[in-house]
Amino acid sequence: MVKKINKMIKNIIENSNKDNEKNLIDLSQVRLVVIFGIFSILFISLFLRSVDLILLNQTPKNNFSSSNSIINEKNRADIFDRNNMLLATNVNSASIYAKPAEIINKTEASIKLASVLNNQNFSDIEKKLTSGKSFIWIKRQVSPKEHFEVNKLGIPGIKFQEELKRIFPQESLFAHVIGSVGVDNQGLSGVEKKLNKRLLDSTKSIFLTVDTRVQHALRQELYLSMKKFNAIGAAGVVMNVNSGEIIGLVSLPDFNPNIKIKPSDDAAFSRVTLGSYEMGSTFKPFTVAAALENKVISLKDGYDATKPLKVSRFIIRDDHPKERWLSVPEIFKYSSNIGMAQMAKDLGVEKQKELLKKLGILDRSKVELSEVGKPIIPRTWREINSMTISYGHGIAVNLLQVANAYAILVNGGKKITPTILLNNDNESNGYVNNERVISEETSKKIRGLLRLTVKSGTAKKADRIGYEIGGKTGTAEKPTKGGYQKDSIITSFIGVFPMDRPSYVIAIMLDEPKGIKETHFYRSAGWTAAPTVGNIIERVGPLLDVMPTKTKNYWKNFEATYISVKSNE
Amino acid sequence: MSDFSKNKNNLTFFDKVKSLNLFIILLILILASIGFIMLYSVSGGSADPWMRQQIFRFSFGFFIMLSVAFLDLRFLLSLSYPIYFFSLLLLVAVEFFGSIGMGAQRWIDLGIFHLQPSEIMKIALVMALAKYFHSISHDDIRTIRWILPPLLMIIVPSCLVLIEPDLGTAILLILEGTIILFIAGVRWWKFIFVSVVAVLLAPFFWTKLHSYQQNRVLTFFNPERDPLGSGYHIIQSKIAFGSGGLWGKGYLLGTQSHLNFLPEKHTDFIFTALAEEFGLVGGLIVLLVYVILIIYSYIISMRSRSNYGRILGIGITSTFFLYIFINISMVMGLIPVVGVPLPLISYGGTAIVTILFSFGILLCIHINKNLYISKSIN
Repeated sequence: MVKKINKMIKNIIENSNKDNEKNLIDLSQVRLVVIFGIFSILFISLFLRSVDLILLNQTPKNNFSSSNSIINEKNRADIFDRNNMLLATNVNSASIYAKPAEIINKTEASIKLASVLNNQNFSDIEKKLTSGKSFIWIKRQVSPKEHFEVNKLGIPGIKFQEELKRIFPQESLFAHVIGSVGVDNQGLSGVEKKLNKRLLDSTKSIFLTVDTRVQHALRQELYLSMKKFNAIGAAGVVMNVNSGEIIGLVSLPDFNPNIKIKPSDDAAFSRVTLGSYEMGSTFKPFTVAAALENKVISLKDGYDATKPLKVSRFIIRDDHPKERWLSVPEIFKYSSNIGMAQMAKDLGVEKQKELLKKLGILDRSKVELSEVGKPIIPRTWREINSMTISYGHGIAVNLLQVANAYAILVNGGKKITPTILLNNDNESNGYVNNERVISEETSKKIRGLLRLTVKSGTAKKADRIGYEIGGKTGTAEKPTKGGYQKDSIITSFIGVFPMDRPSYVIAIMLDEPKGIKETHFYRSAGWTAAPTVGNIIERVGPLLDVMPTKTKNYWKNFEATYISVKSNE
Repeated sequence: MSDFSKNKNNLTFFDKVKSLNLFIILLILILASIGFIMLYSVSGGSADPWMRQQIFRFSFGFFIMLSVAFLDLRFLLSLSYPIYFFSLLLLVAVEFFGSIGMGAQRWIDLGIFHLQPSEIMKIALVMALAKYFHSISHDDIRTIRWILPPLLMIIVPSCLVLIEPDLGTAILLILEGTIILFIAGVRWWKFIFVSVVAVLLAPFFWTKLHSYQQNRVLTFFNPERDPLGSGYHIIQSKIAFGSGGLWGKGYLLGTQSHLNFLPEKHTDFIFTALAEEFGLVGGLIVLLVYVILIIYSYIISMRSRSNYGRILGIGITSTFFLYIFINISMVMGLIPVVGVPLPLISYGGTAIVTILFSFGILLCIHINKNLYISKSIN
């Protein structure tokens, strides 16, 4: 090779001249400039990269030291009931995640994990491990036992993250009050969602107005009735008529907030606050109260209920037709639609609307829960609307609104709003506001009518000795596209006790109860909802410090004063 | 025809000492001192095991540098081919007698110290190419026939290094050869042609790469692919680099390097350790010193009256640049991890002696800047 090169070189020497040399130097100068330009660009890229790595790109932090830090650093405040019973708190729990790149044998790891983790199968885990992600959760917030077992497996690349887990010791009892919390420590429903910020910002415990004992009785009785009448759902609320405090609130079916459920699940739907229903006859006290308050009628007046009432193309019928003239108390206790419609006609649209508005029927409830439905009210409110609304049709509201309106009617007419928070500033409560909705006198008359209904009207099965229960039944067919379903009904009963000094309202609703042998296959509210409330009151009365009473003087006076029309029959 | 007498070539030893380029020497001392300081730090504030050894090696290399500086450039010219073939022989020898270190056969155990022939080849190739292009005419460069010998001179050692296997050095040899071809005046389209061919052949060579080399390239594109294996170097280096911030954590206070998160912190990844302790500012200052040294070396090269001196100087300087660029862009995750040290700063015997040897040549070119060497030799 050297020889060859030398040979070439000898050839060159003969051809070489100074010009050639000059050219070569010029050329290499140009070329050097090019190379230097390229090098400069490369150097500038180094400068830029240093700036990028050091000043702009702060993300690649050392992830080897962070394995024990807590994601949910914010501790949610605890929640208690009115008697300091713990309803929601936090416990430390471990979440299992994987760094698939560090796992040597993914199939083997999946088999091992599936063998110790509940509700996790092999193929799901393997799918996660082979997903190509560098980080993936295997299972969030596992039990201590699962944590121990997985740790014992000692699979490289399977790691733990300490997290706070929200725990609900009462499980499903307060499902629709407290709601649930997601794995990322955010409230998903109920008080947890509505007060999410407050619960995260301050560790000061929150006290609710609910009473676990009452809640339990309410839930159990509703559950028994739901099963007994093969209903698809049930709902109930117990409220203090003077303060608006919610003592119990149950919607069935419910769910265990400690276990994740789908939001679309029926159990996640609150029939008390979210569902708007046509309440039927339980609306009648509102119409009577408005008529009495506006002196459109007196309790001694009455209306002709001999035959169904024709209003334009509608025909209004009675469920329990008496086919005669009925006094106002009779219209009330026999729940006559015909009488009510005529009363509403005399009352007028505006006055009816005015009272419903004041009772909080026409607006979305401001209770401190996240699932609160908006009432469905007619866009145009003509006389015909007014007549159907008088007996609770053509308007859909939630059960809590009705309970609240009843509370106002019986508490002497003072404005109250429902609340779930104990010792909140009370300004929203009627107590402080003292705004009057109806007169004391009207309130007293409504109380009499409610008691009368239980004593001798449609709600006799709600009567319990010593508790002076008053109330009103409601049976409504569930609406379907363009009409009503005869087969599926909603029965409700709004009970108040004790009637001589009203303290609590208990409103319940059964969704699609069926007639049973015991009720002679009747399924109306008087047979299904009313006795349920009677049972509940029997159980919660003592818990709520309501003494059974013997005196019946109040009723003697009431009947003597107002029910005298009866003798006119 | 001898032109020797025409030139002021008979410099006395005293003349040579007088025209020694002190600025280059100063910059080299600065960079080497930065290296000592960092080696002291990465060993946790101790002269052992690296700094003392490095100072010893540097002193040895410094002596070699000065010795080379005082040589006659024509002597270097005449030595160019012998050194090249000697290196080539060593590369072949390492295949058979090399001791295995760090998974690759790169060293020859000479008893006293381990010799890394691929390091020597980096200079030998430049010298040989410079001599070749010194010898041929401008017109000859334009013909393909005359380009084949230098191509062979580049490809043969590159392939030998590649099978050691040492991808970094192989790439470095090819790049420095290419730069010299370019400087010498090989026409543009030929480079483009070769690049296209190289791209087309890339898949073939990919299969020839060692699996660990393939891994490095794959991991470069996705370090998370193997965070504890091949990706570990890059990830940890970037973390350490970024953790330094603008002003750094302070001397001896780098955590990532001291706690051994950072691998090879005393050799290939020393720049990362530096950036962690002295921050962006420290890193940029070091880069700046390098830039000054490179620009100054190019100026020295261009001032040389001889073709050999000019091409040799540019080749040496370009190689020096490539070292720096490949090392720093590697530690910053811009290119895959290839084992290239940071010249003058990284710990490593052969590397620092070779670099100082090449700067000795550069000093020699400077001293002999007015020497005209004709194409005829000897």
